Amino acid sequence: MKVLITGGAGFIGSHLAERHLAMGDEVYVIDDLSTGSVANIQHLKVHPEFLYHIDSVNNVHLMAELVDLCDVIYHMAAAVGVRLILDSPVRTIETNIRGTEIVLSLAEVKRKRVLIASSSEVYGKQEQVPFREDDDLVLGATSKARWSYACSKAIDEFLAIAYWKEKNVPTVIARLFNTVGPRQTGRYGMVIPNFVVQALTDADIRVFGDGTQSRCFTHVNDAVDALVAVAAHPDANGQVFNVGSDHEITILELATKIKEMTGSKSRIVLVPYSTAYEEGFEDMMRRVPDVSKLNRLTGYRARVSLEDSLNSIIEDQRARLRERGTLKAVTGN
Amino acid sequence: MRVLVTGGAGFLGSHLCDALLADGHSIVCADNLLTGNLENIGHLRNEPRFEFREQDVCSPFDCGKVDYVFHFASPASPVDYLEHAIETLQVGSLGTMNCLDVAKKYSARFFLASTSECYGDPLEHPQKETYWGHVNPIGPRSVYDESKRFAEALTMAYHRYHEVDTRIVRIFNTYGPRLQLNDGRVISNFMKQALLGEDLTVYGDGSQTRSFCYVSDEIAGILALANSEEHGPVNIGNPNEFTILECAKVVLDITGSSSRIRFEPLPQDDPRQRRPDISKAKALLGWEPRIQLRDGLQRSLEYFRSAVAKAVKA
Repeated sequence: MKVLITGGAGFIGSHLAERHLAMGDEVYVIDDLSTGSVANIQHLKVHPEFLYHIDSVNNVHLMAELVDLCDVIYHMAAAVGVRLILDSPVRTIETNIRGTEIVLSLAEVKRKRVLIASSSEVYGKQEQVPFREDDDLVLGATSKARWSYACSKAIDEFLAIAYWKEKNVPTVIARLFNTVGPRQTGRYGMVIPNFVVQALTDADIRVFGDGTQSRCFTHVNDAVDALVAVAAHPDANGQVFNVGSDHEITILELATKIKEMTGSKSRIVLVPYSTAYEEGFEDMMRRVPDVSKLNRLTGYRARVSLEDSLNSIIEDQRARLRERGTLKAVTGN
Repeated sequence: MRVLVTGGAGFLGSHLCDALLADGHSIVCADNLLTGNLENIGHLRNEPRFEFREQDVCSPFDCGKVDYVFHFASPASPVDYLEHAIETLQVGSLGTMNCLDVAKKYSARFFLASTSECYGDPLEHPQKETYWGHVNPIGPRSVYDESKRFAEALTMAYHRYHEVDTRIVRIFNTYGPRLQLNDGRVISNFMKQALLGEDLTVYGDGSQTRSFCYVSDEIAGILALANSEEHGPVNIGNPNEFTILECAKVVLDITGSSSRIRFEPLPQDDPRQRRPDISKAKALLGWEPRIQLRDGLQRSLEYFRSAVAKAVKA
């Protein structure tokens, strides 16, 4: 099989590429490196079945060729991360919607299978946990930039479902819940890599708000299991699936755990949201997926524990810091 | 020569690219991949004289200076042109005009791939080029037939009014490697069924006839016409007729399949036979087909085997 991964040099995309190569598939990647990184796919370049293009999904001619060549398309390319959304809302909205339009319209020609990566962000301020795929989306005002991400992803979902219903293009949507693991960068506001780097460098671990907000973290290997399973499943067409773990932890507990596991001397400090982001920034207290739909269809279950996830991330960040020479005496050397 | 081949990732277009490259020419292959397939030209990817462009010729385009334009872009199997009806009408009209404009701009020669469908449901057998055809302008097939008839009219108009040096070929049923498996016509259906071990479906009693031209013969005829000075349309096809039942038996024989033949009622719209009169091509070009059905199917067998294997895997 031939697989196209847009955003394949990103965190999740690169793990997905690795998996499909291991499955014996031919993998095509397109990534403009706006948030992805060549470092994520460096180790795959030697693989004869791995082909990549450093280019934008807005290059319609190139995308038309790649879509034509491949049997399945994973559309992972997106402007992601809270920081980026607040700093560059225009780019976020346009990248996320235009890219999906291009992918779907090209897939329509020969009815190629498309998986659209969406996000737990679309549930917005929904308070009733766990979130089910057919729950209402509760988004904030359009004057609050953060909701533009959720809203652009919601439009992507509408489009994907419409392409299935109206044009019979086999699409499936995966709502990813806080996926974590090696190669994830904290540059775009992701909490775990930030905490880990802060802990490893004995800097203050900065917890936003009062730290009682909670999240469920999924190891990227588990997320990839789920993506591969739904993308291949004929009964998944036109449907939305939560992809995540339902193991919940508060951000303060998370900070404490990371501090312990790294043996760090960092202090844990609370930072008001208004200082961290912008005045009136809205965050969700809890975000727990109901993964029973995914489980019923594919038998999926998250397998990697939070401890194992954190260990793999700490290892990864340690290696990166060592490379950059900024690791202090936390390892005892 | 630098040659533009539109529809160059299609069945005939890709074989034309191969033949032109073998003759030493450089090629710009334009295709929007609606029904074309990059796998048809995958083997040319590293050929320095071959350039692929994902290009919809229905929008005006400029591929730089070329010496010859071969306009082969169009959905061509009934399955495809019935699904992509509007696109089929667009590529025959707007697409042909844009390609003629490229030829006019660079004083290039222009070659139109037309079709036996121009004759519609003919009242004359076999069909000579002088026959005007019998087409229902509002029938479902008109999207293809009228598109190609308009393309011929436009080509002749550019020849008469703009002095573009043009050729028109009317292509009859052609088969061979790279023919789409879901082409919907008898050869691909039989080959697919035989290789999958399914029953071969014969409609009616199988006594209705068809004629098929092997792709290398078709391309040889096209190139002979391209190199001639003939501006009027020329039929290129194989006039040998086979009954559907004979065809099924040849397929079973060469595939060694243990499939059986299953008879089903004849559908109402089963087209009546078209058979080319190729005396013009013979006299003018000294061309005639050389590969007969059994031989041609034998040469296509390996392709069909791998295409069926791939379809099963996917």
